[in-house]
Amino acid sequence: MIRKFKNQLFRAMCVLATLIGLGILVIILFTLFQKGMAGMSWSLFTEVTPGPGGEGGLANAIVGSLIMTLLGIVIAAPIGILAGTWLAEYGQHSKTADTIRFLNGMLMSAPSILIGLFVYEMVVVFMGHFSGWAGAISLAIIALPVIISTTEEMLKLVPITLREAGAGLGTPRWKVTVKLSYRAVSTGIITGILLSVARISGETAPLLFTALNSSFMTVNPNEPMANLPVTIYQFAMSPYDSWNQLAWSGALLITMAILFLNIISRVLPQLKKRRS
Amino acid sequence: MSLVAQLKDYQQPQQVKPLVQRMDIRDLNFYYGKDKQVLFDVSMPIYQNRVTAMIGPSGCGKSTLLRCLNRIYELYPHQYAEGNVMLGELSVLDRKVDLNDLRAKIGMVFQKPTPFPMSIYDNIAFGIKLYERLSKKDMDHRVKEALQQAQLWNEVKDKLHSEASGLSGGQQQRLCIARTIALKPDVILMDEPTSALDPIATQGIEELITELRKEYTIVIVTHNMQQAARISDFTAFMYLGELIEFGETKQVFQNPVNDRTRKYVSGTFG
Repeated sequence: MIRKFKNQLFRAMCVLATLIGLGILVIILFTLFQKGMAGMSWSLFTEVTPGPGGEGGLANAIVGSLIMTLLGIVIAAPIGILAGTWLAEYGQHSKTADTIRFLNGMLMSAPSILIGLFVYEMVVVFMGHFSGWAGAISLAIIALPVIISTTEEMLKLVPITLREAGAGLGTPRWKVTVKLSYRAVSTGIITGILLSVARISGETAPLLFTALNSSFMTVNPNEPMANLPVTIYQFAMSPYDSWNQLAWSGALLITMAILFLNIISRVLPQLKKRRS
Repeated sequence: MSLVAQLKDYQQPQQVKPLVQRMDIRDLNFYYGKDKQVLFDVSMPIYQNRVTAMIGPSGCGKSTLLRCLNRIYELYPHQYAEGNVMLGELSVLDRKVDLNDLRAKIGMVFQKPTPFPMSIYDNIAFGIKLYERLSKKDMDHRVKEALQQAQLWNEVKDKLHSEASGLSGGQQQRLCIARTIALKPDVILMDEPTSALDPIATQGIEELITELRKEYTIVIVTHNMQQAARISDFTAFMYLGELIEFGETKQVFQNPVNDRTRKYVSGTFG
């Protein structure tokens, strides 16, 4: 009797905890959809951010966010993949490799505002002004540890038999890595990159000190660049209704983009599995 | 050519080529790290166009011996060999030997079929591309030739560009053999090539080995004594890292010199 009661109590608590967690998420998403959808229109994608209280869209912020995220990944992906490769294939259990792994773990959990301040000191102060480049670099630093560790984890999954078979044909070691191992786990590495894109596309703090924001449409990363997170931050805090509405719509856009990236990263490995 | 010589050629079918030594293993010792010796003064010949089988109970060092012949053990730190392994004039264990060239001359087929994550065609072309630059036409020819030699061509000729992982286990293993012979090696090492396969696929591989013997020198490690008796010309029996007996397969199985060999091949131990 008591045993059964304990069992049911524990189960009820688990269900309750799940409901609370999911419930909060549903409320957030519901509110976001309700308020965000209200502002969805073509002008959102065609017009730039308006002056205080005016009407407009988010075109410049969307373009800026796309450019900086893309640049950030273009910087982070090669470095991250090569570093992960070194850890898995060459460093392995050496002291240097263990130290790098430890530091990488710290970088992964470092507060993003610190990274923003670091890039501010290193790039913004050096260049003398805020810029899209600085924003892209700070996003790259945030994406880097994720890419490093997923690449390493994926390469560790490559069976030793594949490496032996490669070496058995007389394949040079680097070619075994590039042509066989990378190929065997390519979807895993791409998934890691997609998830890090999802991660950085919502980052606000590192952009605040680096790209700042801009009310103009620009595709030149040498200038301060508009971007969705900082725009949302500024517009949401403002007293103007039109700005608040744009903030909701922008938040919905980012959420949808992240959702989309997550779905792709789930579907991609399955597609590959089905093909072979 | 004189009539007598022609007659002689006619009487001697191709597979009975004269006995020529292809490799020579001399006083080979092998270590997993400084303290753990696993091969002790192994010396034996490998004959050309013959199948040499290495048999013995698990852990006797037969696979290790095989892995010395193309230095594949060098993938792992702390493993090293001492002694002499000659392939003709080439000293295999010499540090100056180019490992990649060596492994092109001495190919290897592994226990588990390991198709590369690419198409059937590319699996074969991959190895060839490491050493030769061929036109599309020549490459097609080489791929076809290798697949034919591995007796896989008829099964895959219509799906050369689909993923190799879609083949059955036996087909995958024949693909791995095709990949190896595409490089036209002198010697093919096989490490229990049928242990992961079903009986029918095993039979296919065994027939293939007998066929390949005409053109290649084959060294095969097997835990299956019947297999060794069926397909090999020479047999080496190993026990606890030592070569106990080496001789013609018929002699080793029917009339072993050593008492332990006799017990092992008759199934009393091992």
